[in-house]
This record gives sequence, structure tokens and C-alpha cells, in this order.
Amino acid sequence: MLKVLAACGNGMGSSLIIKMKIQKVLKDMGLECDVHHASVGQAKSDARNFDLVLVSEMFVKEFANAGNAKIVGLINLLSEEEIRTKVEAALAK
Amino acid sequence: MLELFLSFINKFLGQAPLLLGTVVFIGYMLLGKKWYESLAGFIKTFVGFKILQVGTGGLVGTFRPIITSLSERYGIEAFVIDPYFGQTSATEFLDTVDSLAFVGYVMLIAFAFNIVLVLFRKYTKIRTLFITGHIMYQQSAVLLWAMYWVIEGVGGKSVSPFLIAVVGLLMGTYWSVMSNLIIEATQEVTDGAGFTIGHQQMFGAWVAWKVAGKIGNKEHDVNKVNTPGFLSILNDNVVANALIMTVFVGTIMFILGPETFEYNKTKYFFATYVWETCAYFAVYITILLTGVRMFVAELTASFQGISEKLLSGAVPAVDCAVTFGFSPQAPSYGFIFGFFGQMIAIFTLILLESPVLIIAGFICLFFDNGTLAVFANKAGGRRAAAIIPFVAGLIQVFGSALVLTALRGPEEVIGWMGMFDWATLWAGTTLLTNVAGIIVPILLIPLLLIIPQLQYRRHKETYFTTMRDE
Repeated sequence: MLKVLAACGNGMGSSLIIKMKIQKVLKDMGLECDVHHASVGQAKSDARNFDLVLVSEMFVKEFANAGNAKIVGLINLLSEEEIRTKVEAALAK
Repeated sequence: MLELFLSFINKFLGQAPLLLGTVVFIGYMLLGKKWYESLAGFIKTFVGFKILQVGTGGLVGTFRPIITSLSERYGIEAFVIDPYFGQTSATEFLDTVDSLAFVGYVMLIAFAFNIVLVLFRKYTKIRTLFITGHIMYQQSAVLLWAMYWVIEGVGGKSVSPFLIAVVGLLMGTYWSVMSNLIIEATQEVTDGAGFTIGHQQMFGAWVAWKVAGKIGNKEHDVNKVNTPGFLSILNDNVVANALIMTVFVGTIMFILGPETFEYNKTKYFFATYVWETCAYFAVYITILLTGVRMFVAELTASFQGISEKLLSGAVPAVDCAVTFGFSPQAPSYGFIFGFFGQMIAIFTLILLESPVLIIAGFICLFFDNGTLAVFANKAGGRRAAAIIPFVAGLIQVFGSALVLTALRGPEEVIGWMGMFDWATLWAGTTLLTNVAGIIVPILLIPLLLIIPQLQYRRHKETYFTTMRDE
């Protein structure tokens, strides 16, 4: 089970969109997942407990101390294609 | 039998968390989820709503004594222009007239009307569906509160069914028309990412987009400029809320002086007491956000599932921050210049001895002016991305101060949305309604619906190509 965290400024709108998209993408990839969403402020302190963290590209540098969690920065949060490509690359590392 | 039915309406459908939980439950069942998943959705919605109420209650409890002392001492009242302060005022006030659940009805009517307008897009020219759950709840609450207060407020009775219907239809019209209005500009800003904005400044972003080309050069892109590094601490909303509240509310507390407040002098210096009080805003906003996040996630999943079944081609109207990734420097730019604008406006209010004092809020400063800057930058570069948020900052403060002169009174009222559309369109609607009555919101519905017709005339051939699968 892959533990995934989606984050955005307030943890309300954008992160919920990422969450709905990543659930779909991972399901299509045949992976089981548990996805949470939060604000960047909360997510920073919690990122270590996740396998994968998805945020808007501009927030990636906030997650310098995220332990083993893989950080994925996105430009278009609604693009399933971008999410799939970037997540596949991150998981392959 | 009738009595049983009435008490069911009162004690079940009249209770906001039960109503919303049931909506989610039914939505999930319709989507073919298992009964226990639907039950979990009900519980998360109910509990989330209750957490939200802890946050809103805490915000009022923290802020009210400060407003009261300020008005006792200087005869002025202070209000925060931040969407969660507006939402808190609305829901806490509506609860005192047993009308909190009606916010849910307004939201459902508005969402259903949006779906209907898209279904009949051949005639209505509406292509967009609003799915920004937290905004839908917030706006339904604030609009219902404002309209109720200026139309029926004197009686102190519950909101009338007729007003609920009018506000619901008007809300749905606004969502549909304005998210549809900003679709082309959003496509431009995001290089055709296939969504539109469903937020608090759709009209504002459209104005910014239209004006920007005339006052700047889009070649001078703001993303080629480096913004100051310290602004990155604003990426953390907990830090940002605590800082901004300390700056503004802290100043007010210092002006009022230590003798105004009752605090344990063996435990605190006055400064540490002020800091702790201001930090509590961040505490309650975090609680509030946790609650909203929980129930909105369920509501949105249910809404989105239903709408995908009904309308596959509609363009989703989503949170404004989704555009930030396409223009990462612009939001900070908007924040800085919007901040200057708001400061000048606030000092003007003080100099004019206005009875209403405005306190700046983080969300309005960052997300509202940030969004305006993103759109302004795309059409007019850094010059436009500076001037437009600056002017918007002035408008946000003056517009909100004006509308609050009509809305202040009840002690639950601690703020107003402040966001661009709410400091212009909705502030204006509220003030007009205050004078002319319910005819204003009723007339506004057909008037707004003319806008997509005008848009359609401009580019008939390509108008519907922005919709997916069509």
C-alpha cells in the first residue's frame, strides 16, 4: 500500500484536485494507495510518514527534509498524463 | 403524522451536518459505492462539520472581545477581510436565527441550477461546472447571510423559503456565468490546461486580464524577476496567519493597552499575551480548515461523481491556486503590491475616522491578489502585475468597509470575504438590496445570464471547442 500526501497552500482546493487525480492514476497503474491531503504547512511536518508527496512545483523546495518520501512537483495539477509520467519516474528511483 | 413530518424537517433536514452527511451518503450510493463506504462518507461529513464549528466558534470568541473594547474606547469597529472570517460571521449568525442548515439548501439549489444551465448549454451558452467545494459552501453561507440581513434581518425569524430559493438561484447563476466568463483567459494563462477558475475573483481576474494589456507589456514577464526570499515563509499557511494577525491585531491590542485586557500577570508579559492571543487565530483557522477539508472532500467526491455521470463535457471550475503553478512568481508579486494597496486604504479609513476599520487577512492578500497578478502578468507583464493588485488592494478594503457598514450589528459578525468579487459585485448587490429590496437579487439572475450570450456572439465557431470530448 502506497502512502500518498497531496499538499497545497491552504490544503483546501488544489490538493483535493491532486488527490482525486492521483487516486485515479495509481488505480490505472494497478497500485493500491491511501491518499491524504493537507496544507503545505501541515504537510511539511508530516511528509516523512508518506511514500510519495505531490505538490505544485513551486512548493518542492519546502520539502527538503522529507526523509525517504519522494517529492513530486507538478505544473498542471489536473493533467493525469503529467502526474503519471512524474510519479512513474519518482517510483522508479 | 404531519407533526412527525415537521419535526423530521426540523431535527434532521434542518440540521446542517445531518443534511450534508445525508447528501453525501445518497451521492455515494448513487455512484454505486458500498454501503459501508457511504456510511463512512456520512460520518466524515458530520464530524468534519462539527470540527469546523469548533474553529468558527473559537475565532469569534478570540476576536469579539477585541472588537468590543475597540468600539467602546474609540467608537470604531474592526473587521477582518478574509474568507474564513466572512464564513464564520455568516454561519455563526445564521445559527442564531436557526437557519444554518439553509446554507446547505442554497448550495444544493445553486449546484443543481449550474448543472441545468450546462445541460441546456445550447441555449444558455454555459460550459462550466463549479466543483470547488469549500468555496461553494463559503459563498452560499455569506450570500445567504448578507441577503437575509438586508431583506429580512429585522424580524429575527428564520430565513424564508422564498429567499432561500432566490439566493440559491442567484448563487448558481454567479458560479456558472463567471466561471464561464474567465474560461478563455484561464486557457491562455495555463497554455490550454482545460479548466477554468471557480473561486472568489473570477470577475476580478477577467477585469485584470482585460485591463492588463493596456497598461503593460506581456513580454516583461514577472517570472523573470526574483521576488525576495523571505516571502517563502508565507508558503506555510500556519506561519502566515499567525504573522499577519500578530501584525494587525497585535497593533490594535497594543493601542488599547494592557489595562483593557484581563490576563494573568504572573504568567504573561503583555507582549507574550498579545502574541498568544494572535497565535490563537492561526490555531482556530487550522482547526476550521481541518473541518472544512474533511467534509468538503466527501462532498466534492460525491458532487463530482454525480456531475461526471450527468455531464461528461463540462469544463471543471477549480480553485484559483491551480493557476499558480503556471506562473510561480506572480502570486508573491500580487501579494506585495496588494499589501501596499490595502495598507494605504486602511490608513485612509483611519484618517477619515471611518466607523469601520478593516484588518487585512492573509488569504485575501495572497490568493486573491496572487490570482489577479497571474492573469495581469500574462496579458500585461510585471507592470500590470504590480498596478492591478495594488488597485485591487484599495478596492478590497474600501468595498468591504462599505458593505460592512450595512452588515455590522450582530455580535457574531467579525469580518467579510474581502476577495475582489465580494468587494465589488457582492458588496454592491448587498448595498443596493438594502435600499431597493429583494427585486435586486431577482433581477440580477437574468442580467447575469446575458453575459455568456455576448461571449458566444464574439466567437461562435470556437466557443464550444474548449469543452472536452466535443
